[in-house]
Amino acid sequence: MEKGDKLLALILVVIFIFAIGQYTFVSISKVKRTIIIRSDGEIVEQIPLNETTEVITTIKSKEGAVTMQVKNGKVHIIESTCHDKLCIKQGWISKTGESIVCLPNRISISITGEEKNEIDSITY
Amino acid sequence: MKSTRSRIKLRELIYLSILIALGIVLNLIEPPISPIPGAKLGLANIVILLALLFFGKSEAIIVALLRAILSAFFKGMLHPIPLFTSMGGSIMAAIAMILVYDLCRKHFSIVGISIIGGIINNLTQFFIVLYITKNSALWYYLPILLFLGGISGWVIGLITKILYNKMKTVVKNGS
Repeated sequence: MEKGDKLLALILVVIFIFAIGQYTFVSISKVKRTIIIRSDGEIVEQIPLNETTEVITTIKSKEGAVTMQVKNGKVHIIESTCHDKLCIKQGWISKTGESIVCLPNRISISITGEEKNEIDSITY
Repeated sequence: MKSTRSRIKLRELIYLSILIALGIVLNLIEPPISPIPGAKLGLANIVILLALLFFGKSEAIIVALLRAILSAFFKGMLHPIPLFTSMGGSIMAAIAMILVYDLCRKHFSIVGISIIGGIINNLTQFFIVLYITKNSALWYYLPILLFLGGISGWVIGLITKILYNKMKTVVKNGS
């Protein structure tokens, strides 16, 4: 093992500890959850998420459409026009910070802690 | 003299073609790792590393580019966005590995170079997806993506090391 390899191993361990810490912190924090739906890079819908929310909605973009279901405080995609269907395979998300992305359709669904307004959502 | 030279050139060409073909097949048959949708180990990186070790940087970049383009053809009807994402990731990873090998190979073993490739692949894909979706919530996934990229790079590096040691005598001396 060379010097650089040891440094890489150390970096990986640090990233791993950071990731574990981050996910533990997020899963124990109890905040009001909001589903934020983006299509073609812009927020199109925001839905407050709690145990009683029950929604089935279709989100459209220039490339296609996905159908999302909200049930028992969880979100998943039940239908999509894309080829790979990775968004459906991902299954349910429920924790703050989690997202489902349908890349071919340029649609993404995220659960965040607080509501966002249109302007500060564009960070990139 | 000239004929020996062209013979060496021909042999190199054949080895590179075999490596590209292997890369395409590995990429096609590679099963996705559950539970992360779409995540793969990146077996095609093995052939890029082998081309780099046996022949050099320009040969490795040719293998990386041709492998990425031909894989896209063989996969058939692919949507441009995921295609661009996966191609961008693998080409950026190849460039990073070749640069590290070229500039500071004293400090990194082949496993280390492969780890860098794995991390750069995921980092590139992450930024492309971030740019396409404009969804800042995705930063949540960055640490685990970097970690998994590093781990898959490590596995790929170990496989490459074993293959390199086994192929060394054949490729360098000829049969």
